[in-house]
Amino acid sequence: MNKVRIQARLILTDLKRLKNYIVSILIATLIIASICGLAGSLIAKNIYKSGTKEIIGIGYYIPEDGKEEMNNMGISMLQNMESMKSTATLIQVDSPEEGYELLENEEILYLVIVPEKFISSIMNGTNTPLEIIVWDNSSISAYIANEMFISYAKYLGLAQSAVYSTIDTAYNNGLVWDEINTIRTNVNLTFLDRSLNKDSFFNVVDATGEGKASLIQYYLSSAIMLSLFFMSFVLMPHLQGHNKAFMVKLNSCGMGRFNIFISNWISSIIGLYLCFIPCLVGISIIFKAFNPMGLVTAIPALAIVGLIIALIATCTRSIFAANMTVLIVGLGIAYIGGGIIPSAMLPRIVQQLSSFMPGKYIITNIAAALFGF
Amino acid sequence: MKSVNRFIALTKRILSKKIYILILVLLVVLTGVYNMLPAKSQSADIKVAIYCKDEGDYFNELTACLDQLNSIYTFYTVDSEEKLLEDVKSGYAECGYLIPNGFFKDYISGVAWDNPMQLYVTPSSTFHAVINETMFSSILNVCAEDTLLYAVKTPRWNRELAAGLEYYRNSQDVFTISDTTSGEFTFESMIYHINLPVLETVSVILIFSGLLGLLLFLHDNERKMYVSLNHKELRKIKLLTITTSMIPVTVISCLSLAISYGSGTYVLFGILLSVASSLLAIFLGLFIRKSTLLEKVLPLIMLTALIAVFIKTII
Repeated sequence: MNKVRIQARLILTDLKRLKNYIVSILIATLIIASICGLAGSLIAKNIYKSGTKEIIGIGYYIPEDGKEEMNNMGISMLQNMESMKSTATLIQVDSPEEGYELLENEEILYLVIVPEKFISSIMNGTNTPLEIIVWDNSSISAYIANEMFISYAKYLGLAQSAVYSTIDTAYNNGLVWDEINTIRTNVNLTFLDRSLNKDSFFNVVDATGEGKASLIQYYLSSAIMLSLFFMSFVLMPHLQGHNKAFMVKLNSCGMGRFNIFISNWISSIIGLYLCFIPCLVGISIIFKAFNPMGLVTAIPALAIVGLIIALIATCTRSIFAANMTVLIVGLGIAYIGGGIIPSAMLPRIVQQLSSFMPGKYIITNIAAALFGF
Repeated sequence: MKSVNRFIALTKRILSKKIYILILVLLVVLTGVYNMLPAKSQSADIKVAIYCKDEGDYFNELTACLDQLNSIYTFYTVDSEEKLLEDVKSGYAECGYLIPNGFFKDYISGVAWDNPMQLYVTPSSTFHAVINETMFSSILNVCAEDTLLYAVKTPRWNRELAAGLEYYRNSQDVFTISDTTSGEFTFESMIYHINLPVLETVSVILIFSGLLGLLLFLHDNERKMYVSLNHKELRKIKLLTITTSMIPVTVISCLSLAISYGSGTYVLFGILLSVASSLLAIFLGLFIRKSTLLEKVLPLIMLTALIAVFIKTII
């Protein structure tokens, strides 16, 4: 019997033996994938801790000057600005004294006292100054609010400058008031648009994803990669299950450790495939999207994980040593591949190493298979 | 005397296990290394990365404008989109702006919504809404002249309009707000020391050692080494094997805890943890009678313990 046929017989025998492990593989998949999946989703939710930002209280006083409608419109515009909504709470006070009391009680950080006919003074260029009283002008909150006010003032100042320049130029060129008013309104609206519509001039993009996968998708893929590695806890007795008599027989036919390794590799891939199917189904149910092509596209990742497991099984002497080695190697590969901590947070040397290690590629391949990128 | 001899023999045996020695050495070395790391100061400086694909004067003016600002945020430019993403992801930058090609022209003509900037953030990014105000007020500052000329659309007035804008924006006639902060706030506010999570690491190692002791006992029992002993003696040996495997790790763990935390409470806690791990091993020994089963279960227990420690550290 030639070597190829013996090798084929060995593979077939091992695959037949693997049938006895199907139930164990499915139960272990349920347990290990649940543990790893839960850990993956917890990490994805907590790795970027939500910032703890203090909401700043800003009090304001508007006098009764017959221009309340205009003043309230200004305040309403301010309240609708995204920066204000996310940073401050605006509290209207009935008198400056009430505002001072809130300042003393540290209920507000800033008190803005609007002078009479404030808006009309901006329009006519008088620019009656606002009075801003700060409780604490050295905290980070004070700095942030201060910078926000300065930015608002800059928008207003630039718009004013543009309007004044337009009026002067139009007047110098002999335009009548109606014509000047039309141009002035146009300039005013243009600057208002560039200042107030800024939210439409940019898209907020979540930077946490890896390639096409979102953070949660990447971590779930990493969890499944780890589950595949840890499936060796079940597969190892099968992979190291050749008794001495069988080994002697194989040796007599010219079959060595390499041939056993090849057979182990194929068994591992099949075993891992059995593990991957319930994972794909589980993910499809959770995300309500099934990618049937994933059953094919996952094969490279399964082949690499299977290769590593088969190598460890062939090179170690006991099941315990093999399992502990897989545990360490699996966690190491996941760590270097950014499957435990995002790559960008890893030390520079580990990031450089990442391109030469299989972790990143296995996780990306599994993510592509699961989510159909 | 018999127990002492057994204890000495078991200690010699456990100390001959490579994995056991490796764990002890690693624990000591890592504790020492982390303890010797110099303290770091954490800066409260809020960095904002910018990558611009719109090469030209506008961007140069924008960076000059941002540099001149007495801002709490530090704006800096990067060479690539990858670097921008990396800085935001790693938390080095609070957020990052990607300015597309042609953005400034589109902003001036009011169609930037068709060619918007990308603002990269993470769930940790807290200040991007307020940073936007600084960013866009600077963009408007840079584009103000061209925006005005675009709005008026009378080319023969351009020079006069530009001169007027320049005059008014530098005059006291337009609305401004004076800086209200005192400058007493320090960015270099927090000094911290990177610590190995010794307590968590020690907990995992103690659990592992207890179970390793149980595994050694099961191996010996399966080799019929204790075949002549009665149940009572067998239980004693099981307890002795587990205890023996725990003692060296307990000593090293307590030493690491004392070095890391410098507190007697942690040492006491280490001893209690060691007793708890021994009890866990004895308890599992009641159900696990075969070494093959423990060999399968032990990595799973270790995996669960490691995951629990990691998640506790993150959360």
